[in-house]
This record gives sequence, C-alpha cells and structure tokens, in this order.
Amino acid sequence: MNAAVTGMGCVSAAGESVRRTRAALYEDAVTPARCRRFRTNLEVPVFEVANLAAESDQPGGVTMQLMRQALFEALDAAGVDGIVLSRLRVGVVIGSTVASRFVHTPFYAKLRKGREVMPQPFRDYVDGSPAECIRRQLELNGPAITVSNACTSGADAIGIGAMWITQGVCDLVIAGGCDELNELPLNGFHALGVCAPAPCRPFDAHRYGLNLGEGAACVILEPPEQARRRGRSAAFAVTGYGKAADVGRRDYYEPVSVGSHPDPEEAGSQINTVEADSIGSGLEAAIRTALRQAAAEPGEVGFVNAHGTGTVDDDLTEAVVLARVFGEKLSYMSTKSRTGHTLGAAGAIEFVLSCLMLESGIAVRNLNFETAPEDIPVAPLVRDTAFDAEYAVSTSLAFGGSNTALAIRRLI
Amino acid sequence: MMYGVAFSEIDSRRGLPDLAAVRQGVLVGADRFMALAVSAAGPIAELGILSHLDGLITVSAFGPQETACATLDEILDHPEGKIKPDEFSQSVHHAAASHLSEVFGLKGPVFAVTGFESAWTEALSLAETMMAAELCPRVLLLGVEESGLLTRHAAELYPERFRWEIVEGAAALLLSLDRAENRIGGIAIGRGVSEVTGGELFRFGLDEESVRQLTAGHPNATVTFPVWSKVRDNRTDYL
Repeated sequence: MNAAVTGMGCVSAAGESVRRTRAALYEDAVTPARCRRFRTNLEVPVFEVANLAAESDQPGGVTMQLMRQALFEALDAAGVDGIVLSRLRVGVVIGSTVASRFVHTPFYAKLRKGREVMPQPFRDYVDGSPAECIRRQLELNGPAITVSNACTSGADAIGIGAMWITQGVCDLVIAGGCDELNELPLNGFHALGVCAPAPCRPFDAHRYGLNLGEGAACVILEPPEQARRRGRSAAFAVTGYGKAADVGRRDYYEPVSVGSHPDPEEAGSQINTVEADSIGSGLEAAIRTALRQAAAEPGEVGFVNAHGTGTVDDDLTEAVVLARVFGEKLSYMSTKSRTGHTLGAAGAIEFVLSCLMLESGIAVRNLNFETAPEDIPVAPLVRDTAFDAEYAVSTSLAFGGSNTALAIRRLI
Repeated sequence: MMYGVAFSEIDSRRGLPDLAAVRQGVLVGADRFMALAVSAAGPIAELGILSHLDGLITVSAFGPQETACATLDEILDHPEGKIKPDEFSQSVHHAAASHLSEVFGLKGPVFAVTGFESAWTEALSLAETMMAAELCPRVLLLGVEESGLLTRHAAELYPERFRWEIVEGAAALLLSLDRAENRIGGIAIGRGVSEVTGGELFRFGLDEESVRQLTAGHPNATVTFPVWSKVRDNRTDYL
C-alpha cells in the first residue's frame, strides 16, 4: 500500500487548522471545560472547538461545517482546485457517527406527536450525508462512501481511501472524519458511565473515563507518481491499513449455525489470524496487517498514536496488545487528552497528529499520565521524545470490537 | 469482477418473516433492524459456507430507526443523563454490523455504510476493494431498510428525493473474487453520470430487476449495478 498524502486539514480543540495544531502540539494543551455550545446540566468536561456556531443551517449541520473547514484546508494544501478535480477520478470517503443519524430533537419531538413540522431539518439530514454531500457539491464522479463505524470511522475512511489509490480505483481521494458534540453523544456516553469528571488520563492507573470532543480532519490521497507530476511533494504516505473484528466479545446472542471455518493456513492469503480467545485479538490482527502491508517491522515504528480514551478496560486491552506486538521498546501515547474523544473524527484527527509528529521527529507525551498501572506492561511516553524512524502507527477501536490500524510513513 | 456466491432477500411487500420470533429466538435483545438483517442472511448462513475470515458490510440510509427513535424518546422524556445506555449504544449504525458479525461468526473487517443515493452499489464497490486488498476472502453484504417514523414521513417531508413509499426489507449477498465460488453470476458496477433524483434510486439501491436476476442466479449471468454519481441538487449555496 502506498498512498501519498498531499494535503491535510484539521480542526479540533487542539487547533482550528493544521498550522495551529502544529504550533500547539508541544505546548500546554487546552483543558476540557463544561459544555458551552448547548444547555446541559451534565457536569462533565468536554473539548469544544473554539468559535464554532451553536447551529448551522447548512446540510449536515455543525458536523459538516467542521468537515468543510478541514476539507478546504486540505484541498488548498494539496493545490487542488476545481480544474484538477474535474480532470481526475476523485473518490470521497468520510467517517462520521453524528451525521449518519437524525439527531434534531425539536423536530423529532413534534413529528412523533403528529404536529406540523418544517421539513428543513429532515432535508438537511438527507442532503448532509457527508460523502454524498461533498461529491455532489464538488461535482465529483468517483465513489462516495460514508462510513459509520463508530469510533473507528475516521481511520477507516483513510484506510479505504488508501486502498482505492493503491488499487487504481481513484486518481485522487478526499478522506477524513467529522463529528460535532451535541446532546446525543453527551447523554449517551454519560449514560454508559464512561465520561470522566475531570481531564482524562489515558493509560494512568487512576484513569476514570473519557472527555468527549468534536472536530474534523481531511487528507488528500494520491498515487505518488501523480503527485510528482502535479509538482507536489508529499511528506507522508499511508502504507498500511489493518481492520479486524473481535469475535466472542459479547454474549448478547445465541449463536446461529455458521458452517465450516476453514483453516487460516489453507486460506493462503495475507490475512492475519491470531488466537480468537486472546485479549485484543482483533486489534493485534489489525496492527500486524497494517505492518505487513507497509513492509515494516515493529522495531521500525517510531511511535504508536494509540486510541487510548481513558476508560479502564479499553486502555488495558490496547496497552497489552501494543506491548505484545511492539515489545519493551514500545513508544506510545494517546492524544485524546489534547483533543477529547472526537468519535467519528478521532481516527482522522489522530492520523494528522501522527503526521505532525513524524514531521518533527518528536513524539508527544501522554498528557495527564502520572501513575503506571501494574497491569499495563509498558507505560506511555511521559515526556516529549525524539525518535529516529520513518514509520508510525495509529490505532482506533470502537463499540463492538471494531479495530483499525493505519501505518504511516514519512517520505521527506 | 466479483462473483455472487449466494443471495437472499426479504421484502415487506411480499411479507416479512416473524421478526418477533427472530428477535426472541436467535438474537437475544436484538432490535428490528438486526432481525431484518438476520432474516435475510439466514438462508445463506444455513448453507454452511460462511467462513470466520469473511468480512461484513451493512448498508442503510436511515439505519436502525426503532432504536434510534427510542434513544431520542429517552432524551426527550427523561431527565438529562438518564437515558438507557444499551439503547444508545445499539442506536449507532455500526452496532448492528458488529453484532451481526458475531451472529455469523465473522471476524474479518466489518463496516457500516450509510447514504441516500447509490449506497448499495457503493457498498458493493467497497466489498470489491476489501477483497482485492486481501483484508478478507469474501464479504457478506447486508442491505437493510427498516420502516419507522422518518421513512413513513419521508415522502411528505422531501418529495423531490423520496417519490415512492420506502420499502422495508433486507437483502444479503455473499461475494467473492474467486471464480470457482461463482454460483449466481458476475457482479459488475457501472459508474456513470446521470442527472437523476435520489427518490428514483431509493430502496437501498436494489431495483426489482436486479433482485430478480440475483434470485434466479446463474453462473453465466452478470448483474450490473449502476452508480449515479450526480444527483440533482438545487441548493448550491452552501459549499
């Protein structure tokens, strides 16, 4: 796999552009605060994007407003305008959770009671389906897919985009993730009991949950030779994408007959398999697949930007798997203590943050980590650390055992 | 070229199976969306040909409506922060895909795709990409559209996009790149540009003729699915 990254855009609480994010990356981070955008009595701190309007009258609402900001920054950075887009097979793949469902509660409250409603919120929901919205408005003629894979959505979008480039499906791909903070995820994650009462502390012995956030990130992917022909020098490339599910992770259902399970060896492909009953087997399979595609050994990876939400069980699983794959020399951090958990945008934002760390050669410290837990084999970085490596890995995990790993290579 | 290994479909116009029984018997705690998907894919699972290496894609426009609306009801009817956590976690599109992968014992890549234009065909394209990248040897594609408050009102709220009644149902198509697995014919994607409205395309992207061809299933046949890349949009002021 080799998809050159010729442009990036990013907006989150850590910065409203790539430039601002880069400038703030090694500074004291923004701290989460009580939600200001909408009225809530829930006393959980969140990471909000500064200067963002409370509502949007555009299709896709605030989520697509964030996406457009990242999109145009990425297109500009890549030197891509309408003329370039019209000459190429351009695909668009966007990850989102909020934009994939109807969340306008005032409209819904009237509709369910049979009252007359103004149709605009419904129309904005339909027209704002992210990938289709971008394809329609930029008049693109390639594939358009919105991935709603919960918290791996943004990373999956970049992985799919990289596959399209590698397989020659597209000449250029717009890929990214976006999610706004609104009352649905705030209520939902609060109900799940995973919202931290203070700034989150990923991987810490005394971690107590996550801080929700919001944002968007977008990357422009191209075949390296095309980027050169356009006179663009790509600094990074997506070189591996691994994706696997955990099986046997829940007991909601009685299993149905699923027939034969062929021996993985007989499958004869590059598909990774690990013991299904080992902790984090899906994540391990995803990471090993990404590394194999990148033709990189674990020792060649400078750092892992981990999913690391700050929840007790997920952090433990991830840390154990990372240590199993990368060994004692593992160098990793979570950047969610800088951005919050931005859900469908998280994987894309963390991809951009990983690129910025590859660019500087310095892996950022895991903010708010103080006490090493006994059950986590290798502690995350406690200080900004220089590294000499071309590769980084970014991992994303989601509801129901969805695991994603992206391998990123620095080209310059 | 992709090949169809097996196809199965259920459709409210022809009568749905007893979804309540499916929910009680096969899927403990499942919502209607998942029951529709399991009912459509059941005949394929019973063939005994699914492998745990296979991937899975669900594709839907409105997603799990019953559960999503129940979550909104919870927000409206209960004190803040008191919604049922299971209701919330099952209401996201991916929850169904994830749970279905477990039902069928699949540990390959799992994706939930949404969209209102040619989502079924785009999901077909994603399946081909996944297999070509060797992420999995086969993909079980599940198109699901559940009837609910939004679908029932869609035509009155947005008649330009939803001209006809939205049909409740689900379709399951097992795909492979291996010609030796071809049982019901080749699956092709025709990507073109056409000025059409979304309403003409709706019903998770499957039209009657495609369903007929897939159901008839012949190894020498090829079913071509169009992708309409340009849906008419008069609102060009926002980008």
